[in-house]
Amino acid sequence: MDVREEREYIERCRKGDREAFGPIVLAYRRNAYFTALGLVGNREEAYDLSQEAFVRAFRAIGRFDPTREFAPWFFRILRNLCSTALSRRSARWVGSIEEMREGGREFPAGERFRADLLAERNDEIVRVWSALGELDAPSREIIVLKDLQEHRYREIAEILDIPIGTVMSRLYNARQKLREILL
Amino acid sequence: MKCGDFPLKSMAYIDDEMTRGEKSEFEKHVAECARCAAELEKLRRVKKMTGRIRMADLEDQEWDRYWGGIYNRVERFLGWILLSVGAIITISWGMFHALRELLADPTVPLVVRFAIFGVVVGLAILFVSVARQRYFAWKSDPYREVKR
Repeated sequence: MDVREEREYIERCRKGDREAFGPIVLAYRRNAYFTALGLVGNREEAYDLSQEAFVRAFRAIGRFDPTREFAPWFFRILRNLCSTALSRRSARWVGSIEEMREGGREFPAGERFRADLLAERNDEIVRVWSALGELDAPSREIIVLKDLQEHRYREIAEILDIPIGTVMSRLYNARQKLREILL
Repeated sequence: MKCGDFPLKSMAYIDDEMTRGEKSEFEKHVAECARCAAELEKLRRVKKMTGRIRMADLEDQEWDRYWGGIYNRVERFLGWILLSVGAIITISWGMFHALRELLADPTVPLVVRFAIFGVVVGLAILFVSVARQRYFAWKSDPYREVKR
């Protein structure tokens, strides 16, 4: 879909045409799902969060500035949803530490960033994937946006709402952390 | 270029976000500085490793259901909004008339009228108190501008 077509569909969505949102979903659904999967490391959650991001984008489409690009705006919604999901998850697990000490449940890390979420599973890739899961959320998100989803710095700055210099320094810190784990 | 500029410039270099001039200035520094050259090599290896990650795609059936799920959620949201607004108006209207009739009925004992009055005023006080508490908590929340 080219930019002109995308603008036409968005304009129709702004007038309340739900069907016009279909081609936009079709164009972005894979990137949305893979971005969410890289951020939360769980298939079901990534599927649900990426769908929810489209629902929120459609609801807020009236507030979207049609002269701007749709992708960074949409991915910002998705990223915020994933951050909220991650914060809720850590709050939930802090609350159940006693339960875990009693040996009743597993730590959530075991359920996330599993090797079966990868298309190719050689030892090195599995090790990198698992290292990604060990990173703190801000470091992981910058690596996912740059190295897995291949966004340009300008787009990442827009998605995360930070200056380009901060994108570079976060990326440097995240890669240093990965280096310590992997090399 | 100085070694202190290395962290940010090395990122722009390995991610190909530099102009030709910036690139040759960076390469010149790295050729002269063994420490930065070694550091650059390690960062490049990390980028190469993360760049090889490919996540498994979903089954075709799951992609087929994807748009339907979104469409249903959008439609249901409109349904919930209409239902909620309608329910609030209907319940408020019903309660207002029920109370008016009850208070106007001369057979209702005075003590029951006071009890009803107490319930209504109590509810109003609780509502205002909770709303005020929430408002002040929101105003003093240092993270309210933080996008979560």
